[in-house]
Amino acid sequence: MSDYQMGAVESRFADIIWAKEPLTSAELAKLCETELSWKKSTTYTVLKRLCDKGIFKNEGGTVTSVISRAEFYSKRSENFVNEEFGGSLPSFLAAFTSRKKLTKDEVAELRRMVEGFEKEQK
Amino acid sequence: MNLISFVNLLNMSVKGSFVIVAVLIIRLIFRNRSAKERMPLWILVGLRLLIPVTVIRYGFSAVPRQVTYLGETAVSAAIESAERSGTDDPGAGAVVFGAVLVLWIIGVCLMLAYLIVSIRRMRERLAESVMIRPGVWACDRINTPFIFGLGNPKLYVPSFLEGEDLEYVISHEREHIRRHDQWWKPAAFVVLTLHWFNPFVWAAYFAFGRDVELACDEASTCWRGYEERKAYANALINCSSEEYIGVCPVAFGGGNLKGRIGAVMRNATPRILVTLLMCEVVLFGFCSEPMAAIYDYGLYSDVSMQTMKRFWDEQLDYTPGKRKYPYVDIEELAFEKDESEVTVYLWVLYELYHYEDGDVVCDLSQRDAVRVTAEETEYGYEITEYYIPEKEEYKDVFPLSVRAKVIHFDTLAEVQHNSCYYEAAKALIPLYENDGRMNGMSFEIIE
Repeated sequence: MSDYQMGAVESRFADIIWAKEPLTSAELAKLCETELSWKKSTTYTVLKRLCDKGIFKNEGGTVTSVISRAEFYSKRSENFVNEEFGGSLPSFLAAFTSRKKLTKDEVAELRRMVEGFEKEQK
Repeated sequence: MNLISFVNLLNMSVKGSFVIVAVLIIRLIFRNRSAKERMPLWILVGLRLLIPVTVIRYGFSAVPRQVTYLGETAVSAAIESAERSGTDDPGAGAVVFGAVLVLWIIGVCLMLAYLIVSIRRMRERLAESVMIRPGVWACDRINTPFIFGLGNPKLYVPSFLEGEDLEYVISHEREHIRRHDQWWKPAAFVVLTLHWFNPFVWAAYFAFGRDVELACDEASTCWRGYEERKAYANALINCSSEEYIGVCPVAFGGGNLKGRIGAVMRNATPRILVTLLMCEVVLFGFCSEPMAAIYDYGLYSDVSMQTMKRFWDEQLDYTPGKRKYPYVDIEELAFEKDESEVTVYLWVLYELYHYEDGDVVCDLSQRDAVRVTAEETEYGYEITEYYIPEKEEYKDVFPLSVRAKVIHFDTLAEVQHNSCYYEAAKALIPLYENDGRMNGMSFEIIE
């Protein structure tokens, strides 16, 4: 077991497996297509990732879980972090993202700034 | 891409830089005003960077003529000196140009490669998403919301967003779709690609990006009341805060947090009059070029007369026969003014026509490059020098920046010829068909 972290989307995918296991990878792909509108390649990519994490396993085309749903959620940490795969967003898609985390002080200052704007009398 | 087109690109870049600086200054001055108000300025910037001709000739232009040529001449001087030094080796100029061109192409390819690779990788990531409401997809693998897709853009949000923050994010991103930003931003990137060597264009690109975000903030908050706008501003802070449970820093849109919060809270109203004023200033002050001396009728007619006299004296070997009439078309390429002395570079077409059987026939067609120097007097212009360089001298007398303006040599030749023909036909056909009577007067037709 590596880490007990899954994003919300991965969780939905995992729930499908936990609900329907054991099932063939082909059946899984079909289910994902119906429920999530996923292509086969997407299903297999995510499946592989979760198998690498040690949550599920795909043996001879059959997908089963290594740890149960209950066990997983009990061990999962409260703060999960969204994995950042391969760099920040290209600036032509979104405006350049600020990677800067605000400190508590900065947050407080900004909140004060917000409060500082008086309501206009219109 | 040949030399002339490339020089035109560089010219556009230099002139565009002026417009960009003007727009950036305006942005600075009016930074507390609505961002929506100044969006049309970016269209002017884009057009200036894409269109090689200056449409507006204006008496006053904030762009000093010398400086306009500065960019051109800096480049052309480099190429010219290579060309000149290459009298022994005629390929020198071509080699310099070739090297510069290759460099530019490499830059363009790198930019395009970045674009293509980024889009591909983005598609892979976004495949792993689920629809949480119509048109809105949640994805684990992104940290910031954005829209993706040209025709039918989808809204992708990080899967950890929820509650009020999610609502505001969706509202903001929907504005992007409404404003067709999924087209505008890549379009700006394409312009940047062409002008990748120009730091002003990079500055403009980022400033434009910021304005786009500000405009969307504005669109999603201008109709909201004070309390709601506070909540929106707080959502912006939340998304950047270290304390946000379960999330890496996110700013739905970008940096410039203080600027965005300020704009949302100030809630400035855009005024069309201000937009028009700004556009007018930029358009006429910076997208224009000073009006040419040749449009001064006095100089124009002087030059025409001189041209005809010149050709008449030197070129024409008058043989008796059908009466021939001269017609001139003058294309002004450039002019320089140094106090009271004006230098004008012209492309002159001189033609002789005679009337025959209901039509006019061209007997002689001659084209020359002419450099005219004139002195401005209180009565108009007085020509001090009328110089037609010999073929070999042409490149010396006409600088590259001026030669670059003869974009389509053949088309220009045709246009000038048609113009002369039209004038000849307009004048001669009625004259001859009325036996010399025109405008109530009688002309004796000498054959």
